[in-house]
Amino acid sequence: MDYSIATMALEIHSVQLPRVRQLLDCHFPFDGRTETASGRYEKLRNRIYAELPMLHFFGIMIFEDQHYDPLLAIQINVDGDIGPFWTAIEASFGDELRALIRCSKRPRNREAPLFDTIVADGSTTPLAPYLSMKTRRPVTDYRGARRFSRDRIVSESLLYERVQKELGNGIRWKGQSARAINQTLREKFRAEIKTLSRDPHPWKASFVDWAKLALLVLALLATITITLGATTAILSLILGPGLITSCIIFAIVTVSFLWRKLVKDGRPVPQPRLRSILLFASIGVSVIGAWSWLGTEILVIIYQKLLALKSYACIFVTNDMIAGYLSCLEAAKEIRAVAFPHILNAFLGGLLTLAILVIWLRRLESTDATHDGVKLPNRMMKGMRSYEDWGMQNQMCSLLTVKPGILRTIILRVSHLLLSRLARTLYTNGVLGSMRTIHFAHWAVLNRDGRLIFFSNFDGSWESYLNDFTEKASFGVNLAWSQCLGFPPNMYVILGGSALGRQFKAWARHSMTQSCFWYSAYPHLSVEMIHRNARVAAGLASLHLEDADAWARDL
Amino acid sequence: MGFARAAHGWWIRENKREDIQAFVGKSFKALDHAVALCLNIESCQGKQWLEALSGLADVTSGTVAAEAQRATALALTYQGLILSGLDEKDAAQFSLPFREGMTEGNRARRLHDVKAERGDGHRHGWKWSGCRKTAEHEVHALLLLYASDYDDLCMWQSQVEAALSKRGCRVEICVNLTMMKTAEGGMKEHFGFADGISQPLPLDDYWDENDTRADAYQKQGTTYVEPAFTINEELHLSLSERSYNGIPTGDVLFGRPDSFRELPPSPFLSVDEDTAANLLAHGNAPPGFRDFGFDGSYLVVRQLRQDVAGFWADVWKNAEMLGISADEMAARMMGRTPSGELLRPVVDQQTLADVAQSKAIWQLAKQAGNAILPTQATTSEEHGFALADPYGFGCPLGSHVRRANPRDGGAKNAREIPKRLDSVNNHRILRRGRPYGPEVSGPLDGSDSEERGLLFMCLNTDIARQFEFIQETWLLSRQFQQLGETDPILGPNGRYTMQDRPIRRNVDVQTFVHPIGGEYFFLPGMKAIEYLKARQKEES
Repeated sequence: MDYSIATMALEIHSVQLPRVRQLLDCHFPFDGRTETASGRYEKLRNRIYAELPMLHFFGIMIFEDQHYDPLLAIQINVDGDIGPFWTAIEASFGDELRALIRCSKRPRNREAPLFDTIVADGSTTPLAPYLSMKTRRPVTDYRGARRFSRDRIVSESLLYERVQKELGNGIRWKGQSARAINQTLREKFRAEIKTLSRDPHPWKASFVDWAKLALLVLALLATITITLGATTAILSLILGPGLITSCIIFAIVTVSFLWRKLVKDGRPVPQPRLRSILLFASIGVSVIGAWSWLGTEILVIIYQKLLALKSYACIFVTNDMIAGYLSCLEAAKEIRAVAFPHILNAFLGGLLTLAILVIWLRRLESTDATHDGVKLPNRMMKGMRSYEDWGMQNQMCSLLTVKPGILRTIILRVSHLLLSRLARTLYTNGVLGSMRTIHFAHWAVLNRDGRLIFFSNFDGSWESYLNDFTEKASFGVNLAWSQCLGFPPNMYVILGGSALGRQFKAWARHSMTQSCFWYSAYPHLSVEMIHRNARVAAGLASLHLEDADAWARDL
Repeated sequence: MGFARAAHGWWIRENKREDIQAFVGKSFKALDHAVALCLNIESCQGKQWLEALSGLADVTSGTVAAEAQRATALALTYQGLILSGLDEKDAAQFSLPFREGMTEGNRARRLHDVKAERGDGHRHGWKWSGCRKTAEHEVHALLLLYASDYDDLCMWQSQVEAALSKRGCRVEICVNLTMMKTAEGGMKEHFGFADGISQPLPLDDYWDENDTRADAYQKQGTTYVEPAFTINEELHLSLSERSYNGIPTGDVLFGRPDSFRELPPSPFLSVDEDTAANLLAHGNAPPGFRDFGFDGSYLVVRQLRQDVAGFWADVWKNAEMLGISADEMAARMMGRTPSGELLRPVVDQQTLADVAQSKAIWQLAKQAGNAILPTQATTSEEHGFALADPYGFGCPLGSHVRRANPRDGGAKNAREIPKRLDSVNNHRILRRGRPYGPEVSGPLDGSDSEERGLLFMCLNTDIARQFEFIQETWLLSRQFQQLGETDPILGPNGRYTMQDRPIRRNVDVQTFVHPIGGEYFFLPGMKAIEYLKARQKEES
């Protein structure tokens, strides 16, 4: 495990909320200034930096909600596994954490006995097991600088600074070649370079990651076609394939003609362009065609193998190998003729069911209440703003309720499965749709798909981050958030929604809360800088520098 | 250059300009003399202060004749709108940045107008703003008077001031705007650089849901022709599909869909409650309501004091250290030569040979004319950085113009260029600023006591996404291009890096541009002004 991202959530007794706030103010003072920190926060920062060397980002938030008790959420982004982190933080901040747990609500499930021993008077029971129990793994996580441990980031940044100092204003290097400069610096910083922890292979989507994505897509298709098409397949077996095929085709044609009436589109959302409709349709047809063909062939192969086994058995009895092989071919043809119509029916049935599901979804989407003109109390807005934009990095934390209904839960889960796989294959190397500003981000579900929590640590202002969402990553953001209450009007899950910049910003702001405490191990570094520092360090460390000019441009 | 000038002309069809202030479409270049009157109208209650302008300084409408000798523009702050007759609950429908104002505590910090101070502290040295708590003078309205003749302007100004004071309206600040021209006839600012060159081009007319930007543009049939932009058809067709500097009209004018295909929030007034509302346009309001903001725009104003002597002394010092001329040093900070040409890298024979092999860059180079030749500068506003100057060897990555409009600079490959350009063009502003104070004449001896600078003015419809974004995310962000520094002209004291071969050079720059006033104004459409007048009449 290179790194772990997680959320620990504790429900707080409403009456204890002031006490929790007081505890946090007292033990985790924070005023937003991560970079230019001074006083108590600076002291605490240094302490965390020294005592928790695996920690990248850490945040404590309290979400207040009209429908639920307050929620204390802690976001953790660490090197390695979460378990050792809880042990380490318990060693440093055990008393504070115990006090916080004492203010939280007693769980009503198997966690209760452990809770009781922890909160007992004078208890010294270790907290780590309970905290681990309360930790939620993300459904989707994303990291802009993968495989970079905190120490690597910091030491490379220090090396970069020393190199900068050595280079001065750059005048005295004029006329030298980039390679010569590289040589000089290499000599100069020989000692530092040796101590760098190096990872020779930058993170790339491995075969396994791609295979997992492919498997997920296949599994989704299989679920839709086989489980949803099973009824039609059975009907087709009983009533004969011809009748069922014509019935389904008639139904599909009817549905597609009545589409506009059935989906009841009452909202001005951007319509998909013909080009993208055709694209999706062609992908769908080819995938279903291929899947259908594959299904038949698999069946044929299974049957052939069975026959082959049988004919091998026959060899010893009749010695008629050729006859056995011929009968095998004949049988395959027969199978194709018999099975294909049923399999096709299953897929067509799947398609029809999918269309009906989409119509169902569309009808839900078109009647969903959306939160278009979100207005926050001035105090809340000012509170949030006053903690933002003090340095290069910012954080965002939001908690949302998922829309009710089985279809929404399924879509939420499936979208996040897909998104988390995409984050590991297509969006590698930290570039998410040409944006590279995210250090760590994750979504996690709470209360068994009831609520969705989002934490992000990013570079630049909140405004520009959300603009990036709208301009460059609206597809992914819609997948992640579209099933939450009040989301801007969207269509077929992926269209509209976060592409409506102004509404989306207002909605996202509404779901956020002011952070009580936030820690960044390297507040003065952006994701791009981390990558650049790594390139500079790698250029100094590697013996064969391929493109010295490119290396020198990073200086 | 011809194209850049065209962008200053009107981009709205003649029959639709009537209700728009002429200021939106024109920068009144023919009217050399101008004055900006910052008005306080808190004691105008019941005195119909807007009537003072009737017949004397009527706000100039978009249909004004090209040869008019005088022009007027009027803009109001949030408080100013309420004091002038707009109901508070209606005004509350404007967007948050406008309602809060430029000097709100957290905003001022994000715009770097205050340094790491909490709360609404007094802005050090701020002469005026929309709120008395943050500056010496509280301003509610901005009246801009333009005239072709100086004496005429002086006379006119005194008449207007007299008429205003009769109705209880105080002129808090009077900024005398000047017009300085480069040898080529373009506008110039006090440091000696051509200004106002790179402007977005709003694509005319209402956005049709099914239209692409290019379609909307072709339909308009305006008098000037946009030069075709065809670099490399197979690589990025979408660039030729649209205008290079094109933005939807809704980004600078209320009532039209903006870059995100949304409408800027605009007050909708009920005709049942308020008969005067009938004077307003229907705009996008539902039946029974009228659209107050229609044909208007937000006007961001910042008075930036420039210390010309200090700037050039600093430039001299740095130039000497690097062994280059002061002009080159200053040009490297600005990203343009004083006459306004964009800096381009000097290319050696080897690179020239490399480039010749690569079709895409070669074609771009031809398009740019002199990009590949060691003249170092280009006048075209029609091409970007990604192919011609990706590493900032010509126009440094952190130079003022490259920060203010990064174009396609961040694109990592040719396919990304149109996407990049699209996303950058979502944040453009239409600039209307002019310098103020006397022009620098003769050598300065290091002590520049004269009050001069730039009255920065720009039009946009989403202050957060346009003006504030440029200021915060591009100009003053240390994260921009991983430089770890801010704008060399506007930013605080700090390091400034110029990319070069074999490695970058850097210098320490100081700041010689200080904001001393500013506010977010709303520039109402002509009908909205009529409505306010009617409301004032009712009240008195």
